[in-house]
Amino acid sequence: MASIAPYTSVLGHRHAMHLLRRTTFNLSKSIIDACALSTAEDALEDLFAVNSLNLPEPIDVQTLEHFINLGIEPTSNTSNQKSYVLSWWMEEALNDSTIAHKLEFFLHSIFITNNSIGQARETYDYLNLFRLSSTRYTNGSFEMDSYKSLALKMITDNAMLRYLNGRENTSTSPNENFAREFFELFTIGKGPQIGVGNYTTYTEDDIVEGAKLLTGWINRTRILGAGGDPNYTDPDTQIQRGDPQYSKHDTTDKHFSSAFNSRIITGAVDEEDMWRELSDYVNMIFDSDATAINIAKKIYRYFVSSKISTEIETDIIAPLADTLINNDYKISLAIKQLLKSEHFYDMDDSNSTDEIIGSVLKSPFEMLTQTMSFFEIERPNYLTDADDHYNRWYRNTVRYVITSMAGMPIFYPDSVAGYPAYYQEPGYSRNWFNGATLIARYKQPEILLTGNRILLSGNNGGVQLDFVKYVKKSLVFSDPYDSQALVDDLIYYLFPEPPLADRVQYFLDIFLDGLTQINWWDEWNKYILTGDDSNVKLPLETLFKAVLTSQEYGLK
Amino acid sequence: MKRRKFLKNIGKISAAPILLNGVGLQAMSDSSMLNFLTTCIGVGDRSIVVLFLKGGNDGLNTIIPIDQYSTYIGHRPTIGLPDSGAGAYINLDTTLSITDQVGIHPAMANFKSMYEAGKARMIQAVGYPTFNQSHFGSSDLWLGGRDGSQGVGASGDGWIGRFFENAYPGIHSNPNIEFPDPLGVQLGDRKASLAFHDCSSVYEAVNISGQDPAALYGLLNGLGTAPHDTPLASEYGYEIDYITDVENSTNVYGQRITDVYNAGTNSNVVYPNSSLGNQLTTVAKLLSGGSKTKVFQLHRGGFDTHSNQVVAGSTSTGNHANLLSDVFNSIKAFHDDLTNLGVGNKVVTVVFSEFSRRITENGSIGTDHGNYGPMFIFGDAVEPGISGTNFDLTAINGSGNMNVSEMQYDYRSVLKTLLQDWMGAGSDILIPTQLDSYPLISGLIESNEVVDPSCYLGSTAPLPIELKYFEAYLNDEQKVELEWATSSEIDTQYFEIIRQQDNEEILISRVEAKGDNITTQVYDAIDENPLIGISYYKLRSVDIDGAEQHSDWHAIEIKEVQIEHIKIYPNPAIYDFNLVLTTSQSRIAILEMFDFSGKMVRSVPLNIEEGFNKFRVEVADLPIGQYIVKINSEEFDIAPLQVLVNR
Repeated sequence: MASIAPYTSVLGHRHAMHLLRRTTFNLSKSIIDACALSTAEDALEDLFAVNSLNLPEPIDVQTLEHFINLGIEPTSNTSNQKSYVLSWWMEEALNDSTIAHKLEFFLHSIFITNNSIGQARETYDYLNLFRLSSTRYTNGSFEMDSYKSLALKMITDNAMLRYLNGRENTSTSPNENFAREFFELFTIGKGPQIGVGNYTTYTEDDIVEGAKLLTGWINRTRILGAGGDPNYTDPDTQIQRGDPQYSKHDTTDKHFSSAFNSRIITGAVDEEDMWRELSDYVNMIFDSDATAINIAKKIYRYFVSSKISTEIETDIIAPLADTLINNDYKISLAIKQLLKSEHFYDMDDSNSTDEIIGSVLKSPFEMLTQTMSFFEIERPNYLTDADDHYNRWYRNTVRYVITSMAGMPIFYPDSVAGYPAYYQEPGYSRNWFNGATLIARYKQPEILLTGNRILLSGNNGGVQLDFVKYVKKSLVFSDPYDSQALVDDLIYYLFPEPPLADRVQYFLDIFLDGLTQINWWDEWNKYILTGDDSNVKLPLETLFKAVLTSQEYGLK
Repeated sequence: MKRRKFLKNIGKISAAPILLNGVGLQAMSDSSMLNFLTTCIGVGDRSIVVLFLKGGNDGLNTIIPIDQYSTYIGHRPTIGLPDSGAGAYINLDTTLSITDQVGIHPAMANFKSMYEAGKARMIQAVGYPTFNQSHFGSSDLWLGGRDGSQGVGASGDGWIGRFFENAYPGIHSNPNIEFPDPLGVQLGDRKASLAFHDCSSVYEAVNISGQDPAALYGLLNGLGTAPHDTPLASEYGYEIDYITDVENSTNVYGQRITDVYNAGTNSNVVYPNSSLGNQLTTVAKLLSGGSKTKVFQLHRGGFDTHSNQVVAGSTSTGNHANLLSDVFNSIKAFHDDLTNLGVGNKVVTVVFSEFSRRITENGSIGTDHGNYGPMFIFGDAVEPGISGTNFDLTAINGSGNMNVSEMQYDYRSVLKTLLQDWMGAGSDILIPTQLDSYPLISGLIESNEVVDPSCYLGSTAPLPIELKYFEAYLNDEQKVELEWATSSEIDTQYFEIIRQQDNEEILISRVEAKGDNITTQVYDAIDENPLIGISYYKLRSVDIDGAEQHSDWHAIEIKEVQIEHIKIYPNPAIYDFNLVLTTSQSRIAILEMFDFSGKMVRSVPLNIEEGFNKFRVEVADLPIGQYIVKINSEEFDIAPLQVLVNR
């Protein structure tokens, strides 16, 4: 029986690393060591501390000024501006020791837009809605921690109105695109198909009615400055949003099927009343337990595992759904409950190593960020080397090579379903790894060691790891003179589970390549005395590449 | 007619070897049998290209029922194609009865030219019962080979994967030198297609989306780490195994793909410079290089035309026109290329989309999700024409969708027909592939190309041969074992095993026949001294009257053993030491250890496996001193190693 009951012991390194791999993009030794001394309860309090940003927004590489909230007209073109927004988000993710960015990416992976459309400011606003969720923003009685609040705000988000044709959905020519995905992907989810056009939780007719209800919401091109156009600033979020147009709205009453208890939502009588209608609609969907169950499953798949048995449904999903229902869909509560459960640490039966830990493939971005944070690899300065930081590193290397070529076109997913690893049966996270993604995934260490892009021409903006220096200075290594200890210490922090002796030996063999332990002691000693790393560089880099392209490192 | 008679003349003429019931035979001279067998020739070389138009292609702006044009334009005042003047639809075939005549989008001129060249066919109003109008739901159903009543994602397997595991059981998941190609290759989408998943949810294809096939192996070589010596019984362990399996198959198949690709070529045909054009260029080059891959799945996205499907006022232009022109221009180039390369008769291309779009337009200059739409098939062997008739454009429901009654074909009928008539899958394969119950559609494949039931893959129908099977394989001791069985023997005197290498044939073994018998008789033989490299083995049976029959050649490769890496550590040893070695092939060997006087102090059998090996040798009981370690094996030639025992 799976147990949602809290796991109360001090975590220790194994469990602390498990928790951090699943919840942050930042896994430095100091963070891991601190977390290892905590209980799950305390660790989650730290993870849910409010993340503060290094930079409140990206800069324009040409003017070196902020260009969204400050309201300075950028000189770069729209495509470059969007690239700065995404680069900024990724850099902040790497610096974030809380759960915030991992949570924001979770929400993005559900409320998908493709950032090839719209403006940079709209991309920023779209991401900012997730940020308000991850930081549990409140404004009076409005609480963005609630998934329901987020879903409501997504309907009028400018980027979303563009992406799913919401802005083209009018009373005379309804467009069902958004209404369909709002049910299927964003909220209640599809149940078994039990008849023509009947998916248990909703029907094709509900989509038609929903589309009618959602008519007349148009996007308002985002203007410069904090909050954008004051005429279209959302009073709850202070973010510019789309706007109702009564003349384009279908004013009839909307009749929903028995899936929603044959609910009738009265058509709006004026423009102001369209907000009420929208709110009724969202309330109706979130009144259904199926919505809570679907969101609980999404949380479970993203943070724990894609394998949801009937046991998991009963013992884990159901209580999480209850938590959502009883707390106005505050996802932080459900996520905390899940991540401090005995089940999450595989401590709910006699075998604590067989189910959860290491059972999921990391995304290419997770592999990169774990490597970057653990090995303290620095990025070019965003101001003094802005072009390298934003363009050569984040855009040309991280986006074009490291993520896209490994099957993760980050923030540019090719379908509204998002990234296959989060939704596609039967493999789920196995979708990160196949013949088409393997090469880019395994070229990461080479890109970091050489400073080149490897799979495309050109350098990566100067991001380069000197692994020899790292070994020398890092506290990870108890005794770099001792080859066995060196390998043990490295693996300790990088693999989900302690490896068996023969596996350690395998890496040791690769590292020493025929040398004896005494030989290594000599070589390392020479390096320490003379600073000449020519004899230690190759074995260390060979070890680095082997460990980072191992099956174990690919798992979390 | 006694079946035995047909076998008398086997081997007297030389023709291309053909594969029958898993047993290669050479064509026979008896004229009546020759006709029968001709239909089987080349069946084993056939393949299917499956092109998925992702997003929901608007079938009604792809083919327009000419007899209902006014109804059509009434449903689509903004986006409908004109019937005359600039951008008008093209009448595909004016010789058809008026109720069957269709206007094709002007961007599809190449469809018409292929139709007229006898290489293209369309199938009207294809779908499945209990239609699902979600992209993801309906895609999973099409790829899974299921319908809405069976549930989406119910079991995580697809029609191609099921076909593979039942039709090619020996090759499925098992690269080998007789069939070195992956059964499936996916291009154009890095997401592993559900269609290729077998009943164990194993993805039975190699995904080379976005990869340069010419450089694939060079990039793959050396990536990753060795498999684990000790498998872990946990979810973690299963994922480690999954990664290892993908690495291995990508590595093996990647080398083959690179080899085949580099051996192949394209003709001077110009493909559109698009993702689809590139995908098809790659497939043509692989096929011309000798790839025997059975199914290629390709991907072209962008069909979800909720808005701006056409340019207002110029409805034959815009997004949908660009999509169609890319698709049909690419397919035309592909089949022209195949013809030029001499493999035009080996490929059928089938085109589908997860659904068609609403009959009525939506007012965003686009269309919402619909249901039934056209499929297309292409190839030299395709019977040109149109299956089905124009559907009734007034038979629509309240939301502007086609009525359920308007579906003319279940898409699984199309798949079944292709697998049976083109690929040679009989019902014993189609049943577990879950396609057998759908009606066959006659006239998709030209009648002279339709696979004869006697040539079906894995068929259990009686065949005019007495040999049930002949197999050659390498055993653990690197000897070649040969096994065959007969189902009916009359007047057979003896069997001979012939080995060929470098065009030199030698007799390996002769086995006396067991005498006239109608029950199954099993025989075996062994080649004790096989040769390094690729050798070919065949079975010759000789009758009392001297008549002979021959099996096909079976290839066996014995790799020269290479020791890439060998060492002993720790050295000096205290209580024990490890011998580590990496070899190119599995071997049985013996480790022998001698002291300074030459006395053997250890003799340990080693079961050496391909790849990385480690053996631990205890020396705690041995006196301090210098020892010699030898690895003895027939195939190894390793210089003795030294180890110092010291405490």
